Parts: sequence; C-alpha cells; structure tokens
Amino acid sequence: MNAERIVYAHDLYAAYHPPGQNKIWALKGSDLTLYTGEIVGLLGRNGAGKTTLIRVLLGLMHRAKGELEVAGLDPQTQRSEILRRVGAVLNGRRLLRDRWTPVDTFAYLGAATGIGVGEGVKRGLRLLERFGIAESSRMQLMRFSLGMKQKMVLAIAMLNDPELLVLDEPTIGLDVESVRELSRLIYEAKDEGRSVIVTSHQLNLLERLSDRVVVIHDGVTVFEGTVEALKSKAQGQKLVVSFREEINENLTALHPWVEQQTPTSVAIPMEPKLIAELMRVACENNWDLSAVEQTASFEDAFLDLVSGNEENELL
Amino acid sequence: MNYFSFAWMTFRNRLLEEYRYPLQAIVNLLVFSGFVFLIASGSSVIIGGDAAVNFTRVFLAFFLGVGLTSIMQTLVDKGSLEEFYLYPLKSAPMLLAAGAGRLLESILTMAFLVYLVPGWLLGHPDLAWRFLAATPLVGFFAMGLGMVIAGLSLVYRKLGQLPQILMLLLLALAVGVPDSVLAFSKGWFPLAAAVLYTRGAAVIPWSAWAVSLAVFALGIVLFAVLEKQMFARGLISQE
Repeated sequence: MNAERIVYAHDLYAAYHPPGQNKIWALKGSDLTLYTGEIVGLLGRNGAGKTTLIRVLLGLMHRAKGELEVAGLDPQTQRSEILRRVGAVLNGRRLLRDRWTPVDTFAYLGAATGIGVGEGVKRGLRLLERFGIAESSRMQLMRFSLGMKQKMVLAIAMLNDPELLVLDEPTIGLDVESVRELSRLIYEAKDEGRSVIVTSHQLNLLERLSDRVVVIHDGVTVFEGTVEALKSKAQGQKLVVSFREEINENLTALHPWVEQQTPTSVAIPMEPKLIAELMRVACENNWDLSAVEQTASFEDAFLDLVSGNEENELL
Repeated sequence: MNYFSFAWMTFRNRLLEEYRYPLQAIVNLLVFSGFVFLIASGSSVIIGGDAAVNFTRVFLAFFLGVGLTSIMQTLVDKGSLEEFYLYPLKSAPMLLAAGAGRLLESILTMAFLVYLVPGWLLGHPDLAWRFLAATPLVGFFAMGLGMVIAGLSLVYRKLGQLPQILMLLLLALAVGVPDSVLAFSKGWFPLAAAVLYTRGAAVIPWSAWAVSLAVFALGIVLFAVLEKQMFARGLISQE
C-alpha cells in the first residue's frame, strides 16, 4: 500500500478513574492502524472499548501506556493541532441548537474551530449544497428531520476540511434511506482522499463501507483486517439443510451449534461426524432433504470472534 | 483574534435567539423586572434605602451570579464535555471568551432594565451608568469563581445545586446585608465595593480591583490543574 499511515495505535492501555472509585481498565492492549484514504470500521459489543479508543485517539483521554500517533502527532500533548486536522462525531451527535439556523451554527463553529466566521459559513453552505439541503440553510434546526440533522452533524465534522473523519455511531436513529445517504457521503469523503474511522452497531453498514475492520473485545484488539479475512477466520463454513416438509424432530438437540433457521431448515457446522449423524436421523425418518454449503456471514463471523474470546476467557 | 471572534459569536447568537422570539423575550424581561422590584422594595423595608438603589444592588448580585454560572453553562450548552473539547482552540481562553460573550449580553440587558426601572420610572438615571462602571470589577471576580466551579465540575461531576445555591446566597447578600457590613468588606469583597459604588461612593478601592483580578487569575490556574486531572482520569465521559 502506497498510502501514508495517518493513525498508529499499538498496545494502548487506558483507564477510567473517578475520584473515590476503583480504576476501570477500558483498553488493555488495543491496536489500530489507518492509512490515508481508507475507511476502517471499528466493531465491538457495547462496552468493548470502541469509544474509549476514539477518545484516546482524539486526545480527550490520556493513555496509561502504549504507542500512539495521529497524523504524526501525539494526541496527549498536541490535541489542538490534531483537532485542526480531524473532524469527529461522538455518540452520533454534535452541537445543534434548535433555535439556530445552519448559517448561525456555521458562523459560531467557524469561530470555535479557528477557521473564521466568514470561511465557516462559506464552507458550511458548500457542504449543505453537496448534501442536498442547501435550501434549508436559513431554517431553524428545530424544523429539521432526523436525517437532515445528521447531515448537519456530518457537515459540522467536515467544516475544518479534515484529513481524518472519526464517526462514532453516526447512524443512530436514522431510517434506511438516511443510512444509505450517509454511506454515500462517507464514500465521497473517502474519494476525496480523507481517511475515515466509523463505529456502528449496524454491521451490514460496516461490511459495505469498510476497507478493513478492527474488532475490539474487552479492551483488546482481537482482529484487524479485511471483511473477507474476518469471514474466513470464522468457525468454518456451514451446511444449510432444507427439508421438503416441516419436521417434528428437535434437531438442535443433536449439537449445540445446530441452528434452526426456518421450520423446514437448519444450519449445521461442516463437521463430518455431525453431518453423518444428521444423515442417519434423516434416513431413519425418511426425510426428503437438500443441502447447500454456506460461508459465514459478516455478523456470524463477528459474533463468532467475540463469543469465541469469551469462551477463551472462561477457560 | 479567534477568541474575540468566538466571544462575539456567543454574544450575537444569544441575542439572535431572543430576537427570534420577541414576545417571549419581552414577557421574560417584564416578569424578571417585576420580581427584582418586589425584592428591592422588600429590601428597603429590611435594611432601608431607596428601592431604586436596592434594585440596582440586586442586579449587581444577579450579574455576579450569571458570571459564576456562565462558564459552566458554556460547557453544558455544548451537549457534552466531549463536544466542547473537540474544538482546537485552547479550552480556558475559549471558556473565558464564551463567558465574556454571555456577560456582555447580561450587562446590556441589565443596564437597560436599570435605566428603565430605577432610571426612568423611579427618577435615578445615573444608576445605570454607575451599574455599567461597576460591572468589570464584578465581572472579573465572577469569571474567576466561575472557572473554579467549572474546574471542580470536570473532576467532581456531581456538584449538585451548588451554582444555584451560590446565586441564592448572593441575592440574600444583596437584599439583607446592611451598608455598615458592606463598608467593612468593601476592600476585599468586590461585590460589596460595587454595591457601595452604585450607592454613591466616590471610588472603588484599589484592593477590591486587586482581589477581583487575583480571583480571576486563580480561577484560570485552578481550572488548568483540574482539567489535567480530568484528562488523566478519563473523566470526560462522566455524565
């Protein structure tokens, strides 16, 4: 890859330590690398450490240990310089005052980001035009739909013309159409050469958008690679067995990994012993069946990875 | 320059919010003036003095209260602390700039009301000018204390009703403390010096200015120390 590295995080440790309470380690060895012009999807369950990792990247929280560089700078000591080059949306939201119009908002943020009031308004209006809501630039934000507000949020994050966009849960509360529209805008940002880190619980969105994904589990990076690589790392392939008629037998009792998909189909891991056992039961009952091989879905692969880690922990 | 621009935008957008709902703004001002007038009249019974002067005195205390809470309000208005810290400008000057923008709006509104009620209705037009002259003294003191409260709120998030309690205490000071006590404390308590000034004292003692500026500087230093704690302890996400 010719692209330059814009984010490099290695073996990061970070903890929350409110006064009078015990230290809680949220990152216990996280890694993340991002190259220019790349979209990386950050995945993990609730509380896995995704948002903490983003906070540390943006200098909003100090790390206890580990190597970290964002655009060649250290967020802990050079937060201001980094924030001039990064646009961020945290927890899916940015400042939107109901009584302000987009023009008021961009003027205020132009001053707050140091690019200047006039330049802020100019850039903001250009972004709204690109996002297809320029006609609402003088409408109070309280009249905006959720989708329009989310476009405003993205425009705010892009106001300083950032090299890196950090979008934490940008699709919260959006309908399918708005999510699709937002995906298009994120793609456009990538086409302009920006690097993007996205977190979302909508796995299909991350599957579609990401050049690479990073999976965090319990504060540790457990996977970093392409979507395809994640799928192939999943617990093997599955065999989907379909029956001509509904069967009464409880096949899930055969093995814990047999999954009833519909009343007339089950999915089983590609294990010869298990397949043989199923065939024996099918012959005994004279079931008419067909079988198709199925590779793991992105969702399966993700769940497999994080639940696998849980099992390892228990061991 | 960036910080002046930010202060100006804070001031401008606050005015715009009021301007877009003029009826609501006028009703608020009328009700607020009536409320302060009642307090001032009651104060005249308790500690004596002209209701017009006591009206101005309550406004000075209220102005100090606005200053105390304006810094923290800037943090709260951003929706979350993270939002505030996503801006590349330095946090302490940015907070002070926003606080100054808010105070400027309060000064103009309050000076107008002082001109209207004690000045025009009660026949003391000079009080508005004396009020304006005293606001920098109270303003620096208020912003210094405001920075301390904001800093404490970064680390000890659950400050509860402290700002509101302080506001009530200030109002009680304005309403219930006699001039003899104020005269005793005018050298080290800027609000006392400001109140006596509006009541006709010739000058504000230099020591009151010194205290005001010292509290302002101390507020900035304490805020920086507490902010460092917040980053190190990962407290930015605490709700």
